[in-house]
Amino acid sequence: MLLHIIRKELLDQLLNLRFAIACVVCLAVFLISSIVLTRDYRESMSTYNMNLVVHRNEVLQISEIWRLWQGLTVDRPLNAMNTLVKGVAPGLTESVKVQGGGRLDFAETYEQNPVKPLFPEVDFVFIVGIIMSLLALAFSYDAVSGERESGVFKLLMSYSVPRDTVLIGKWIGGYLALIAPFLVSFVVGLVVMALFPEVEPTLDNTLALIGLLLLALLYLAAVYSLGIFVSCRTEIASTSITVLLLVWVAFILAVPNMAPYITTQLLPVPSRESVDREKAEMQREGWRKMEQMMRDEQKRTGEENITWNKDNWSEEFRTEVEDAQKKLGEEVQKVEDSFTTRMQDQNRWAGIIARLSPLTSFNLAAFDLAAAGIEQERLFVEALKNYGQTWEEYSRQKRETFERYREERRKSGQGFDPQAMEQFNNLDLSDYPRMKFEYMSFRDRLGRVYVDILLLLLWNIVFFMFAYLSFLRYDIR
Amino acid sequence: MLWLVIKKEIIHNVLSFRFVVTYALLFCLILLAMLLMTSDYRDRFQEYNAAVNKERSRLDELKKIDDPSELFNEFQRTSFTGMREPRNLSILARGLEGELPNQVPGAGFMRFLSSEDRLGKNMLFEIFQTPDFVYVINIVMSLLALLFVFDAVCGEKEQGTLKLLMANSVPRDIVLIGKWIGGFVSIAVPFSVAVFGGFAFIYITGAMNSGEDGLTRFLLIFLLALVYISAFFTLGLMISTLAHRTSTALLISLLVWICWILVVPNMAPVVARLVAPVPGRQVIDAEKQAIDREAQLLMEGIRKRKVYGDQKEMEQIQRSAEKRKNKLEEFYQDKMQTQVAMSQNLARLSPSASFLFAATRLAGTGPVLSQQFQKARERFQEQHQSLRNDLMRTLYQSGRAEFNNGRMTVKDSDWFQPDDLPRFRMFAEDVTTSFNQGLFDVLLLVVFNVLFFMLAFLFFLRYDVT
Repeated sequence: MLLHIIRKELLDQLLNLRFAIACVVCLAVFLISSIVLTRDYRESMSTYNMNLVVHRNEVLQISEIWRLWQGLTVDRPLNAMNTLVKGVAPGLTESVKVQGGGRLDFAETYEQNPVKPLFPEVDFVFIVGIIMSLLALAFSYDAVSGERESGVFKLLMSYSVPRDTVLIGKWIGGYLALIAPFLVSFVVGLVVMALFPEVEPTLDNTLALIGLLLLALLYLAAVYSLGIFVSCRTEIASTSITVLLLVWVAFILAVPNMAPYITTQLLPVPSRESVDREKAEMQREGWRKMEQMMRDEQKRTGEENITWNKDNWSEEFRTEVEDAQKKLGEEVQKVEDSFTTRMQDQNRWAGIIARLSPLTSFNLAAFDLAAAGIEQERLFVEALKNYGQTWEEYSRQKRETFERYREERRKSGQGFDPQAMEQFNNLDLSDYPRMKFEYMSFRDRLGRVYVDILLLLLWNIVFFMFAYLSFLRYDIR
Repeated sequence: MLWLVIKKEIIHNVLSFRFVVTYALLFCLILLAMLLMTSDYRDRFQEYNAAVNKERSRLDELKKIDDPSELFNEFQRTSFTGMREPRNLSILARGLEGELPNQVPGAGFMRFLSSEDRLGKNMLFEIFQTPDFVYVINIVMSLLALLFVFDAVCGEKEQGTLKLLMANSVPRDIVLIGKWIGGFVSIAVPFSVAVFGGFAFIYITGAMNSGEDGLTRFLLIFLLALVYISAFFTLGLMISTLAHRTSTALLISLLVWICWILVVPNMAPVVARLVAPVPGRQVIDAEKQAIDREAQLLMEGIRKRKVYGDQKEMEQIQRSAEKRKNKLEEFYQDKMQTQVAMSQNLARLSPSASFLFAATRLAGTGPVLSQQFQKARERFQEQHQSLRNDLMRTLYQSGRAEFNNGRMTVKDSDWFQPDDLPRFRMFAEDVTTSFNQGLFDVLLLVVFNVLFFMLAFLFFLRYDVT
C-alpha cells in the first residue's frame, strides 16, 4: 500500500505545473551559476599562478640585508570548493604580506563592479537555502489540506490504510518529486565543472561534495516536513500557503539576517578601531611614564648620558623599567583579551539566535564542509602567523653574521657604519622556506559541522512528529 | 458602484486571516529594520567621529613640535588618513555603505588590515544580507503583495461570488478598478502606518540629521516603495485574471516572484561577468608593475651606457611607461564600465532591481557612492601628493628654507596649519539630481504598473466567470 501511495503522490507531483517550474528554475540557475563560478575559478587560478611567480621572484631578488626586515608576500592557495560555495573569504585569491613578529598585512580591497555587492552571490548555498526551500514549500503546502479540499482524501481514507502509511507515503512521494529536479540540475552543474580541467578533484573535496549534497537533502527534508506539518494543521490550501510563506519570510529571510544586528544591540562590543586606539593611548602613556623614570634616574645619578642603552643602567633601574614594561604589556593584553572575549560572546550568541532558522545551520555547515567558513579563515590566519615565525627564524639566520658584527660595534662603543653594511649584502635566498597551507581535511570539516547536522536532523524529526500528530487528529471531511 | 466594490474588497481583506498575520509580521519587520539600522548607523557615525578626532589630535601633536626643521621632517614622514563619513540615509538603504573602506590612506591604493582586524569581527555580517528598510520592501513586501491579491479574481470565481457580482449591472472595468483600489488601499494603509511609525522613531532619536533634504528623500523613497508594491500588486491581479484556480494563480505568482526577485537581479551581475569579462585588478596591477620594471631596466641600461646618462632619453622612457600604464588603466575602466552598465540593464528586467537602484540613488548609497568614493580618494591623494611635492619648493623659493651641507633647514612653522590640510570629502548629490538620475528606474516601475494593469484589464474582459 505504501508503494501505491508513493507512486500516486509522485505521479500527482510530476504532472503538476510546479514540477515543470521547479525543473526550469533549478536547471537554469544551477547551469548559469556553475558556468560562472567555474570560470571565475579558472581566472583566479591564472592570477594565483602569476602572483606566485611574482612574489617568489621578489624574494629571490632580495640582495640587501635591510630588506629582510620587510618580510615577504604569500598567496592563499585556491580552494576548488569555491566553485560551489563562495564562503566568507574576501576573494578566491589573496596576497598577504608576512613580516617578522607575527605581523600580517591584509590588503583592504573592495569590489570594482558596484552593482555586484547589491545582490547576493548565486552559489550552491543561495540556490538551496533560498530558492529550493521556497520550492519545497510549494511542493508540500497542499499535500494534506489540498487533497481534503478536492475530496480525494475522503476517498483514500475509505480504504483500509493506516494514517501513518498515508503520511509517510505522501512525504516520500512528494520529497522524491522535489529532489529529482534538484539532483539532475546538481549533476548537470558538476558536469559543467568537470569540463574545466583547472578544477582538480581531491579525495577530501569529493567527500565534501557528497557531504554538501546530503546536507542539502537534509535541509530540504526539514523544510518539506514543515510544509507537510502546516498542511496537516490547516483545512484550506490557501491558508496553508499563507502561513508557510509568512513562516518562510520570518525564519529564512528575517531571523538569520537580523540576528547579528540584534546581538550587537544586546551585547555591544567596542569596535576594533576604538580598541586599537585605547591600546595605542595606553602605550603612549606607558612610554611617557618610562621617559619620566629615565629623567628621574638621570637626576638621581646626576649622569646625563644615561640613554635607552641597557648596558649603562643600574640593576635597580633595569628591574624598575622591566617591571613597568611588563605591567604595560599585561595591561594592553588585558584590553585585547577583554575585546576578544566579548567579541567571541557576541559571535556565539549571534550564532545561537541565527540558528533559530534552519537556514543558518545549513549555511554554516555548507561553508565548513566546503572549507570556506569561519574556522577555515581562523586556520588560514594561524598558518600565516606560523609561517611568519618560520620566516623570522630564517631571516634571523641570514642576518646572524651582520647582527654579531653590529653587537661588536655597539659593545666597542663604535657607531653603526652604513658603508660597512655593503659586505653583508648579496644575499642568496634561494633556499627560503615556502609557505605550505592545506585546507581542512574532510574529517576535520565533519568535526566542525556535526552540531548543525544534528540541528537539521532535529528540525526534521520535530516537524515530522508534529505533522504526524496533527495528521492523526485531522478531520478529513 | 465603484465605491461599493472598493468597500467590499477592503472589508474582505481586513477580515481575512492573512491580513492579521501579514501585518503583524510587516509591522515587526519594518520597525525592527529601522530600529536596528538606526543603531548601526549611530555606531558607525560615532566610529567616524572618533577616527576624525584621533586624526585631528595627531595633527595637533605635530603642531606642538617647536623646531621647524624637525616639524618638516616629521610632516614628510607622517602618513595622513582620510575618513569617509557614513551616509545618513543608509538607515533606510545600506547599499554599498558596508562595502567601501571607511578610511583612505593619503598615498597608495589601499590600506592594510591586521590579523586582528580580519578575525576580530562578527563574521555572520559577511554571511547574511543587511535587513534594512529597502530589503524588507524589496523582498518581503513584494511577496506579501502577491499573497494578498493572487485570489482576487480566480478565488471569487471558485467561490461563485464573481458570478453573483457580475449578474448585477456593473461594468467589468469598474469591478477590476474597484478590486485594485480596495486591495491596494488595504495593503498600502497599514504599510504607511508602519513606515511612519518607524520614521517617527528615527526622527525622535535624532538619527536623521540632514534636515529637509533628508525628509524629502525619505518621502520620495516611501512613494517609490508604494509604486513598487503597486507593481507587484497589479502583477498579482493580472495573474489572478489569467488563472481560473487559486492554486494555479498561486504557483504562477510564486514562480514569477522567484524569477523576478531571486533569480533575475541576482543573476544579472553574474551573466554580465560572462558576457562582458573584465581582467582582474591584480592582473592589471601586475602588468603596470611589469611596465615599471621594464622602464627601470631601460633606464639602468642608459645609465651604464653613458657616463652621465641621457636625461632626455630617460624622460622619454618614463613618459612612454606612464602613457602605457594610463592606457592600461583606461582599458580596465572601459571594460568595467561596460560590465557595470550591462549588470544594471540586465537586472532592470526585474522591477526589484529598478526599485533597488532608485532607492539607493535617493539614499546616496547605490553604485554612485562607489564612483563618488573613487573620485574623492583620487582627489584626496592627489592633493596630499602635490602638497608634499610643492612644499619643499615653496619653502625654498620663499626663503623660509635653505640647504646646508645637503640638509634642509626650515626657518618657521607657519606653513603647517592643520586646518588647511586636504581632507577627504565626498560630494553628495542634491535631492533633485538624485531624483533625476533615478527617474529612469521610477519610470520603469510605472511602465510595469501600467503594463500589468492593461494586461489584467484585457484578460478580465474575456474572463469566463461561470
